[in-house]
Amino acid sequence: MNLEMLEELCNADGVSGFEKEVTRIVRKYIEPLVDEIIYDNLGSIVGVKKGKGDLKILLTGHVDEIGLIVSEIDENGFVRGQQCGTLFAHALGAQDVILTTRSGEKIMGIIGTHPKDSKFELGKDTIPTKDIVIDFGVASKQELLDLGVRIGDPIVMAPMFRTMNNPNYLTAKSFDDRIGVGFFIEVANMLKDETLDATIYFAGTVQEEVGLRGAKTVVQMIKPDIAFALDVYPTYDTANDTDKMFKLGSGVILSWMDTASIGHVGLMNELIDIAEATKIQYQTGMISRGGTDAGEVHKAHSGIPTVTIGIPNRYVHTCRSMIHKDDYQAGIQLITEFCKKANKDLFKKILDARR
Amino acid sequence: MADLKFLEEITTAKGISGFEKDATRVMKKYLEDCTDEIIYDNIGSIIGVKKGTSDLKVAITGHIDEIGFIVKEITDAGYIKVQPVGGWMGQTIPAHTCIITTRSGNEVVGVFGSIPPHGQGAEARNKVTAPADSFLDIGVDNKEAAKELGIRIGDPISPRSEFLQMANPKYLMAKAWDDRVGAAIATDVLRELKEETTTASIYACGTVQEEVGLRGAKTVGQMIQPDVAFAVDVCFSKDLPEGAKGEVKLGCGVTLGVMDGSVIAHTGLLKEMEKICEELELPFVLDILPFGGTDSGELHKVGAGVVNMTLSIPSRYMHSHRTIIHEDDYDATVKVLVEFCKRITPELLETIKSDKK
Repeated sequence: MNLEMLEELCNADGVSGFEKEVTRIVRKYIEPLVDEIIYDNLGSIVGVKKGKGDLKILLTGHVDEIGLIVSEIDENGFVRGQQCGTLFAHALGAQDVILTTRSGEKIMGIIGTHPKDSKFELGKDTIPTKDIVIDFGVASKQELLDLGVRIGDPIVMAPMFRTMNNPNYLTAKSFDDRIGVGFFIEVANMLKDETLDATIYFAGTVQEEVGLRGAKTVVQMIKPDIAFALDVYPTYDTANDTDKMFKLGSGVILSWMDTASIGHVGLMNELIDIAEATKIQYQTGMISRGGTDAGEVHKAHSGIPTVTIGIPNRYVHTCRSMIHKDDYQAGIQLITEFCKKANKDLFKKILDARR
Repeated sequence: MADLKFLEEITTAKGISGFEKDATRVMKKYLEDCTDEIIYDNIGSIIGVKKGTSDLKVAITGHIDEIGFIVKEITDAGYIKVQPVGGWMGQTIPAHTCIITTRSGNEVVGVFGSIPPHGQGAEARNKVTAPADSFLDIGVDNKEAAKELGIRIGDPISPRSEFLQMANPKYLMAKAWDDRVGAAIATDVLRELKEETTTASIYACGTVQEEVGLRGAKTVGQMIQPDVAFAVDVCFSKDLPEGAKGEVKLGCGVTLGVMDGSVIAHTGLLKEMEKICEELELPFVLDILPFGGTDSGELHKVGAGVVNMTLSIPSRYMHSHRTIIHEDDYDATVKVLVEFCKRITPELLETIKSDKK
């Protein structure tokens, strides 16, 4: 497991629509492991490892992250942003943020909070996300313009990657979904000396957080037979949660269902069989809010057997989310095993499970 | 200088979502003279094609439909109950006139009725009727009389309004600027390019059914499979006495859409359009809408993805019978698109795409 790579991925800035920093890191690590690199026309990157047969397997991890795009600069130099993806207002106040200008300069700011006698009641109100104001510590609009700040510039939470007290626990600003991106690069690494029957497409998809847009264009471009969306899945295992469906450190999640897709039964059964046979720790279940790239992928062309592979993640959509290395490792092993085993006969068996 | 006669014709044409033929015919009339071919998708969208010298394809879309209503029920007393099509607001409906077009093409004018204020308390006077609860009065005695006029369930009801140059003649008032202005700009780009040879083929598209879910944009995008696509649509003019203030307002020039609820502009294309504006000395502003969307929402997701963005025309009073745009914004938008169509080559497209790599 390459933690240095994961840190580099997690610390890169990549709001939806502005993912180039991330795709360049993907390119750096995956290029030596694949036969070809291609792009869709929206910026998604795909590494292709060619197989002997016709079968095509797509692995997606989305390269974008939640953040803001500058929508307004007021006369005093305060900045408001349009949110990309769902930001949780209660987790935003007092955080550091990084804005990238057109010319690539990085400018640091903080998310302002309210004084205790403001219109927002301390301890009770959360500032609505639309009222979030970013303070770059300047005196006027002109100072920001002089720094190169313009409408449309992307803003992300400041980088933070940390190994916790039990070194299996990691926190970062953007495990959603750099953990999925690290995941497919690790799989590519595990497979680098293998000759496979299937061709594997390792895709870093753009604009997932604003509506699975890169997943749609990538799947239309690749036309895979089988696909996996690799993404974080929320856990409900903290002191305040009563629903104990998913836990950190309890294995990779094979998702039966979320609001965007239902796991293909044939493919799910195959994954469970592999996990059982090779003693890979896994959990299955579903979530009632949220979806992944699988939502677009499984509906492309005449339909594609797809399963979301979830990495359990505490505090999803905050800049301090947490994962467990064992879950990540379990996922990498499981998908590596599947890719090694996959061929036309297995594909037929998977399809037949639904007929 | 915009062709005001064309703008009057295209804005006064009737064409709610699903019933756009009157409007596409106006577009056809003006496209015929400057295109190599006119084609249609299978749900009524019109496309004027100017062939280029390479395989490169640029689509410019304006949606040809407008918001309106459909006849839902004819009451025994002869009133018409309506199904709103597109996003109406209850405040802008009463006392406005509409035109019902029957199957045979007969046109019947009606007015949205309301209860007189006399003797009503403040609460009742200030209550807004929901669009779906509005009723149209066509001035007949009973249901039978309405039926004799040919009115049937499902007939389209289009807003009725005049085209008008305001006190400052550059302020143009009409119904349906959303989005006949986009369809007209797409058409005028091809009219301007009539004598030019372009590397790319240019497709001027009037897409149907945008107001009910970007439907024509999807089929047109899939049919043409363009390399570059621009949606031209209206946006909010931030210069009303109340509400948000901003640089995006009537007369501001070219409005480049950075992001809305349906799309994020391709950064390479956005930079290229800014460059053209600067070189032509056209004023431009950047616009972000926290909600809503345009044809771009479907266009950019076609195939392996399409290099795409939205150009907007600031508009006052959107989604009502009378909306206002500024002629200078219209002219500037035509100019920047014409220049892009002249400049685009496979090499420039690669440069634009490389901004994402």
